[in-house]
Amino acid sequence: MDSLPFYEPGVPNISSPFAFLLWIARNQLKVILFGSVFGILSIASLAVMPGFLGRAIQAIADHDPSALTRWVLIIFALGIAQSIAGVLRHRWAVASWIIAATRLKQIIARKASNLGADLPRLISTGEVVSVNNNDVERMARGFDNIPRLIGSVLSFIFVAIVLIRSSPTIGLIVILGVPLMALAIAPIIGPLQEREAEQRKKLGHSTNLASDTVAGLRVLRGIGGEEAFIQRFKIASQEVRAAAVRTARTRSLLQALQIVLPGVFVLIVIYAGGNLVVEGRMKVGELLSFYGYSAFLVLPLRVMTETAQRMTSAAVSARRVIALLSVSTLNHWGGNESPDGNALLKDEVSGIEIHPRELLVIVSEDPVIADELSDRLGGYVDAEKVTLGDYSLIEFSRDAIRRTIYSQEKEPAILSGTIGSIFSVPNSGRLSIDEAIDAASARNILDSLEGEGLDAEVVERGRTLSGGERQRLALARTLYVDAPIVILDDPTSAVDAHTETRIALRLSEVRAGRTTVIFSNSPLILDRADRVEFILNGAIQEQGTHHELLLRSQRYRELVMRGA
Amino acid sequence: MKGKPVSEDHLPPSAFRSPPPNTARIPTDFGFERSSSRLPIASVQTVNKELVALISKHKRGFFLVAALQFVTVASALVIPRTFGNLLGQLGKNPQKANISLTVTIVATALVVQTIFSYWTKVKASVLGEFVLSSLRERFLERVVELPPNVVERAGSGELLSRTTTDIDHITWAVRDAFPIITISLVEIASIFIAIAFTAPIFIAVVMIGAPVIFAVTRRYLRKSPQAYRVESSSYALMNSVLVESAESGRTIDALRLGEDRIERSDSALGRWIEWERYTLRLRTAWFPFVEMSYIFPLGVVLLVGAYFYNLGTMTIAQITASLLYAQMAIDPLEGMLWWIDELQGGKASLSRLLGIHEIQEREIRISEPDGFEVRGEEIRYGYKKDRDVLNGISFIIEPGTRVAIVGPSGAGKSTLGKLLAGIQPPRSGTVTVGGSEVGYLPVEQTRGHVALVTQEHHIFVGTLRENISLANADATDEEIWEALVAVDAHLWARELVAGLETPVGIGGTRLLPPQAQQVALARLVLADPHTLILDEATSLLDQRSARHLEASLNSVLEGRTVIAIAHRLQSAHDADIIAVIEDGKISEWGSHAALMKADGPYATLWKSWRDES
Repeated sequence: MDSLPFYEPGVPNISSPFAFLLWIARNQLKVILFGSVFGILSIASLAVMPGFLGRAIQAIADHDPSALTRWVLIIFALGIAQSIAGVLRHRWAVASWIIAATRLKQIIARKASNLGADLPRLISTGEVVSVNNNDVERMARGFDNIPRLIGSVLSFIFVAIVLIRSSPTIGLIVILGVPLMALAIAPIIGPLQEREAEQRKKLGHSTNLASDTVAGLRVLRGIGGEEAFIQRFKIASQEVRAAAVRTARTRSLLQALQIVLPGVFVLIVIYAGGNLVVEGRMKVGELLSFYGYSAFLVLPLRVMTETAQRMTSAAVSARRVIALLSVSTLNHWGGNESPDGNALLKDEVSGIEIHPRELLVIVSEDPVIADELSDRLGGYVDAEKVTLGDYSLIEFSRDAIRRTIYSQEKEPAILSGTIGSIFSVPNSGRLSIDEAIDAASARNILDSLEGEGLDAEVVERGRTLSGGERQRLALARTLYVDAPIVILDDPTSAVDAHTETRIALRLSEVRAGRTTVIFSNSPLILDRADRVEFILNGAIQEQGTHHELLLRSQRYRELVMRGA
Repeated sequence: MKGKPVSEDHLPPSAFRSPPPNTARIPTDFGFERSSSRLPIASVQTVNKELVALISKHKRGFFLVAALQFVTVASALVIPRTFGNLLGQLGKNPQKANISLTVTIVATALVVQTIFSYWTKVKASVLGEFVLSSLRERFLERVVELPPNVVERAGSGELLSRTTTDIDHITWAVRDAFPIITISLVEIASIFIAIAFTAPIFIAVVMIGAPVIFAVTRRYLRKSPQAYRVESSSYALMNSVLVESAESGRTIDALRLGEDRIERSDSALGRWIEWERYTLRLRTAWFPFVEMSYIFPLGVVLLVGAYFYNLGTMTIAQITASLLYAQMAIDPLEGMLWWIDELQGGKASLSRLLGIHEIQEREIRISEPDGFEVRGEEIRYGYKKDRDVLNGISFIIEPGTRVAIVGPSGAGKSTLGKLLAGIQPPRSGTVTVGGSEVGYLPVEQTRGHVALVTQEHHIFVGTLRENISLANADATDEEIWEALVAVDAHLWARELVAGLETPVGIGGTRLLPPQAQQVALARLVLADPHTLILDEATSLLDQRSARHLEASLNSVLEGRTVIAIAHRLQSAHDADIIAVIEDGKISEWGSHAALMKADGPYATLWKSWRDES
């Protein structure tokens, strides 16, 4: 465990759940083997115990103190051996579990990073979290039972042999009986797991509702919807309860069977063994041992059913993890690493062309179309429909495109941390953080935060900041990154007119000589544009300067002119 | 606040940069400082008190489970006793031994044990699930009452991990540990009684393991709760890293921070592993001694038994039965100690859940608002101690007035909106609606008087109907559609596959941000308060749609007091009164025409907004 987390968790075989589980097992074979050795030792010392207890009782009955001492000493030794082997088994089992969980979590984190912008489009956060926690845990738990299983199977064989040697009939009954019982129990495992799955689903729903409360707390508070929401949560919570009780019924049945079935052995041993003693073919002490052995059989039976349960749920979870790992990115990027940041950027769908080093403002009647266009130009969707110079975006590597084109979405995320950590991103080095902050008129935000300067703390996703503050902070970050081509989707929608005017001015200064595209219908921004494209229903309607368009197009005027 | 300082999930970012601490240091150094902004964690005493209260509240349930378990164990105990007797008979006079009677008794006992065991476990689960659901529901009831500023300061991830991971942990503990511990306790007690009836001397013998178990367990329990608490915090941290990566995928991708996220996640993982290893070490120093204490008494029973057998004061039957009893006690003992351990995790989570109850409650002053007048007097409020955002604002808004609040961003407009909606009371001064201080009204009373919709939109998991009717659970279809029409949302809502029953939010149909804003406004229409505060409530709609929506909303809201915060001065132009806020003060107050005439800050803002300056 010393080398955890892995430097490189490896590439799993995800062709099938079984292959996946096997791949993990093969990667930690040593740990599983060590665990199994101690598993065998600890369970075996339990298995042989009845033999010595019986001999000791016999020694008491025979008034043989030296024999008694011998057996009692062996019992003490076995106790010590068992406890040490037991804790070592536990350690290796936990290690096995942690190693498997770590590897899986690392693989998932890498997958998430690989999917990048596609992740929130393709999979809900709740789903990712639930796979990363519940399914990983269930898969990992499939491994920590292996030492116990191996120990149990071997002990079972040992007990069967001992019994056969003393009494072939009893021995045979046991050796055939235990597997038969396991088979008898098997039909319950299916329904039990179905009910468990149902229960998990219900629990998932109630957890979703609960986390929703947190996310929407302010909304609830504003509208006074707390009570209605709590009512909904209570219904969900009661459904979880009902499902859990149903599961408990089946599980209790399974556990009751685990008592009564081995009990049958005890009955057989008492009856057959008792008669053997009566016939003088068995000693009293031996009968006690027999009784002990048959009572011991509860353990292997329990471990076997438990393992079967864990293995099935590990397989189910493996399938879910595989589903997550098999999600592929929307774009299949090429390998060209050297895009030209001063080339013509062209959207084949709308026909829009972005000339090098210009400040282009795109006016769209429909904001949804603007969002789509901004995603496309940034290479987030349909990258094959956009060209940069002579190449389609898709021919470049993803990293090369992100380095060259920075497309800021409408509501960019502010990652938690300090101002300093928000700005610790790859950047051109042309602007200092202070310059970027000033260009976005974001200086006064820092004053309202805990901590000074770059150490000022921003709470998670900037939730305490107002929409305008978040917008300015994100803009400052974008300007700091200073990509050759910057695309901004309505970057000033939540700031007041004075601030917007300032931002428009400084933005055009800071971006001078570099390519910038802004989606905005604000005259304050349009005023600064080198060129304006007016799109309607996704196609270019008009282009020219702001003032040309104002004169030329009635529709444009209606859209951008403000006031009564 | 009681309780020792304990680490929290939201580590400073510097925690990511440094390597995880050396495990050897962990026991003495719990590492991280506690900041006043974190959510409280309940002390061990509080948790114990709560557990006792829980048990005594469900006394009857516990008693029933205990009684059922007693029957289960009693029937199980019959078996060694009967078998011991048989051995005794066989030892003395094999021919007289009644084997079939023994088999009959054992078989009967087995059947009774099986049936009662099933029954006990079902009852225990029913009880456990009941306790669990009430715990869960009580927690959430408290969460929605929390003062929002507390939640915001602590970060919602913190609260989120309490509502998800911690509730899950407790579910585990309650579902498995609680019943097993109860059942095991009864079982152990019954076994002791059985031994006492068989051969009282063996009670003392069996107890020789007890002091060792007691000592090592106590030592273990002194360290483990804290450790498990930090362990679950580090698990929560791991989660919040992933949640952020998943939710901010686009931004992370754009900033090329993929590698950085992997590093953060590996580092959080490393921290969690450190803690897993530490708790494993604690268990390593605990388990073996406990397990030895099980086996040890078996040998001593044999030795002591032999001594009395030689004296003739004890039979083989007694020794055998006692030996088997002592062996039978191993299972429940082991089970109990194992689950006490598991319970530590549950208790750690419970202390985090109960910590929520230690947050100071909002002060409530019961009063009945009389009339609809909104009035502010010398309102002051700030987020930092030494810096107020609002510096003494006073105003009177007559019922039915439409007020627009404008001003530069960061001037305190949104803060004023929150205070007007009674989300929080001001630091000094008063905000009253109909003469009642709105910040101190009980939540259920505020609703119906004042409601606030901000630019922050959230679609809850559930159907469109559930989302809208949050504001009024009894709303009919017709009322909901009217509300949707009022916010121009009926056009797209009609297109949804299942109409009002369409699932939206996580896992359902994804609504676009402007649509989410419309849903928020539809809720407001349905809530139907006499005073509405709209903080940039249409900012995500394009200008024309926003204008159209505002017009149709206005006809529905005729006669209501509407206070709108907007940077789109369009809405200001149409308002009865415009309040300009600058630097936490009202700098201008009047109609559009009047303020334009005055040629002050508003006029400048208006001109600049229209690009005329």
